[in-house]
Amino acid sequence: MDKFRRNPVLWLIVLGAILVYSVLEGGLLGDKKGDGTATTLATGVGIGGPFALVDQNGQTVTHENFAGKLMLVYFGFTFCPDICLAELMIMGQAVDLLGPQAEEVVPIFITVDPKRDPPEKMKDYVAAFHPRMVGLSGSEEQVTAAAKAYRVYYKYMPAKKDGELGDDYNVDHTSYIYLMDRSGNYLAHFTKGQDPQAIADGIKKVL
Amino acid sequence: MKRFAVSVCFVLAVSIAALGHAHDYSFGDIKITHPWARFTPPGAPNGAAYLVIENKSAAPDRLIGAATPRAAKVEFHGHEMEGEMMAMRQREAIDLAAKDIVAFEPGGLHLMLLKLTAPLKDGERFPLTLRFENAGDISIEVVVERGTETKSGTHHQMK
Repeated sequence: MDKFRRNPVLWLIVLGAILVYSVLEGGLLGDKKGDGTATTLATGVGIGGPFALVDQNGQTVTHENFAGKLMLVYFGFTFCPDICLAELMIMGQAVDLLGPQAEEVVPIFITVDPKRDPPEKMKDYVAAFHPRMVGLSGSEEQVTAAAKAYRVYYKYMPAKKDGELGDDYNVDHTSYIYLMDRSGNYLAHFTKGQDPQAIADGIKKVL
Repeated sequence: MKRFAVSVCFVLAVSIAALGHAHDYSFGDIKITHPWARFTPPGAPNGAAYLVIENKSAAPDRLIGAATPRAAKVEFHGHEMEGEMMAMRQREAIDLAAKDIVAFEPGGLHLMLLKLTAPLKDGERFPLTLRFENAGDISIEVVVERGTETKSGTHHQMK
């Protein structure tokens, strides 16, 4: 655990998360409709950007591989039994609800737990949610960089309080579905438990 | 006699469930509604099950354990927000006050199924035993669903 406590990169992510959280909370409070409309956050928030990761087929991919398509991006981990499965289900359904326009959107799952989620493990996992879902893993450095770019905060927690990290640890993590434009820039994000139709409607407005 | 009545209820409940109607179980003062688990994709070692427990008794009870042959271990987990993060935390037991209803639901309190023997398949049914401090052991059948059901009342759209 000490390794994580002393890791300055993780603490930078914490600070970033707090900053982004303040901005996003402002956005939440400002929304009274809750109708799934996707609108652009105030500029300068800087969610997203370049990344280099390894896909479920073992190929290195970067943000450039998805240029020209909208991206729906979710960060989680395969040991996560509740929230990640729910959000990935919602993401897959939202894409299907786009009908013929679904091809314009790439659903992407990025693990924050590359140690237990190597690329080969992602293949069958993502296919269960959507036939075109991309599963991205990579080295710890690659994943840390991608999470940092998306202002995603995560922290490995031992299964037993104050215990060793072991192999059965949990990962606390931020849980948002990000909608990114055709150049990989942030458009909107969706909090947990959204209606897939509301997300699809939000995407349609920017297609 | 009580045990017989409980058995009859169990058989009835299972029969009803098998017919695809209401999926509820009543055992004395404990009522269990819609026990379900989300399907798990290949490679996902853990699963989650959800249900609603109603304690109709005037006395409190506690859910102190759970087990299923489909997983090495079943634990109670709650989700808490730590800042912006979803933090999953184990709970040793779940208190049921008199005339209380406790819901296990996606994104909230759930039964974590650790080390599944195999992925949970949509439509599958598996047994689950719940251990109550007062009501004793209650065996139910959990239905596996794809389910996009989410916690109600938390549907916020952030911008």
